[in-house]
Amino acid sequence: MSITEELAEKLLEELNCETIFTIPIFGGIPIAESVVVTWIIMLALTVISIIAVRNLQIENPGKKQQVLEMIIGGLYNFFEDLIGEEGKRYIPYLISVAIYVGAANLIGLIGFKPPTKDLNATAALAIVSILLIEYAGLHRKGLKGFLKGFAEPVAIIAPINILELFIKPLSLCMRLFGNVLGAFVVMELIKLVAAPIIPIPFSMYFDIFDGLIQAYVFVFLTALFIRESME
Amino acid sequence: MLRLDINLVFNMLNLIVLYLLLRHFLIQPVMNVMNKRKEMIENSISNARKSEGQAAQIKKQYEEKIAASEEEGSKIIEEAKKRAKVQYDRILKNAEEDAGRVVGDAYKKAEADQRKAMEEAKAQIAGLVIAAAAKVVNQEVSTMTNKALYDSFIAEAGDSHDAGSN
Repeated sequence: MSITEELAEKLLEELNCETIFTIPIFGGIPIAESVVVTWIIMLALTVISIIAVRNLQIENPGKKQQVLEMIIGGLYNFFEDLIGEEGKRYIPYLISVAIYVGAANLIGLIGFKPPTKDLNATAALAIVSILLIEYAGLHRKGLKGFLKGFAEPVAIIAPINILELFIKPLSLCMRLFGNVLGAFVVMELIKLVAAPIIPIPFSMYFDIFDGLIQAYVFVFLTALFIRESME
Repeated sequence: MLRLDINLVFNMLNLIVLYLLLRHFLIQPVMNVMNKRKEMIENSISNARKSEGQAAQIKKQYEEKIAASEEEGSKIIEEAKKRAKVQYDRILKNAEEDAGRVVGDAYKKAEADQRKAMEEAKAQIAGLVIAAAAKVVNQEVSTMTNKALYDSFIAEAGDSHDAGSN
C-alpha cells in the first residue's frame, strides 16, 4: 500500500459519518453522529442560555448582560436590516440558525465531528429554511399572490422560478456542506503532512474563520430569500 | 459522508427543537429586557418633553401676568397722578379763594374801620366845630340844631372832598 492510498483511507475514515447507535425498532433506526453531536450542541446552548439570562435587569445591566445584549441585539438588528419590519417574526429563527451553524462549525475545535460535515444536517437546515422562505411568501401574499409570484416578472420564466424552489435549498445545503468538508479535508491533510505547530494558523482560518463565515453566509442568504419571497 | 437517510428527519426535528429552545430561553428574555428598557427610556423622554412643555406654558403665563401687572401698575400710577393733579388744583383753588376772601375781608374790615374812624372823626370834628363856633359866635344855640347843621355841612364838604380826591 502506497503512502497516498494510506492517506486516502485515513481521510475517508475521518470523513465518514458513523452511526453511533441504532434504535432497535422498525428493523433498527441508525442514529448518525451529526444527530448526536447536534443533541450535545442543543443541550449546551440551552444550558448556557438558561445560565446567561438569569438576573437580567432593565436598569444597570451588568457586564455579562451587556455582552449578551450586544450579541443578541446585534444579531437582531442585523437581521432586521436585512428582512425589514414585515419579517420580524422570522428573526428568532434566523438567530437560532446562526448560533447553531456557528456552534456546529466550531465544535470541531473541542474534538467532536462538526454536524455540518454531514449532508443530512446541512440538508435539514436547507429544507427547513426553504420551507420557512416559502411560508413567509405564502403568509405575506396569500395563496393567490404566492402562486402569482411564480409568474413574475413574466409568465415565461415560471419554470425557472419553480426550479428555484429546489436550487435555493440545494445551493444553501451544498455550500455549507462543501465548505465545511473542504476545510476539514484541508485541515486533515495539513495535520497529516506537517505535524504539531504548523496547523495552528491554518486551523484559525479553516476552522474558526471559515466556520463563522459560513454560518454568516447561510443566515444572510436565508434572510435575503425570505425578504425576496415577501416582496 | 454523502448519505441522506432518516437522520435528515432527525436533524430537522433537532433544528426545530433547538429553535424553540433558543427562542424561549435566550432570545425572548433578552429581547424582552431590551424592549422594556427601550420603552422605559421612551417614556422618560416623553415625560421630560411633557414637563418641558408645561414649564414653558407656566413661564408664558407668568410673563403674561408680569406684563399685565406692569400695565396695571403704570395705570395705577397714572390714575394717582391724575388724582393728585385734581387734588392739587382743588387745593390751590381753595387756597386762592381763601386768600381772596381773607384779603376781601381785610379790605372790608379796613374800609369799615376807616369809615368808623371817619365817622368818629366827623363826630369829634363836629363837636369841635360846634365848640369853636360857640366860642366864635359866643351865642347859645340849640345844640341839637347846630349839630345837625354841621353834620350836613361836613357831609357835603366830605362828599365834595371825597369826590375830588378819588
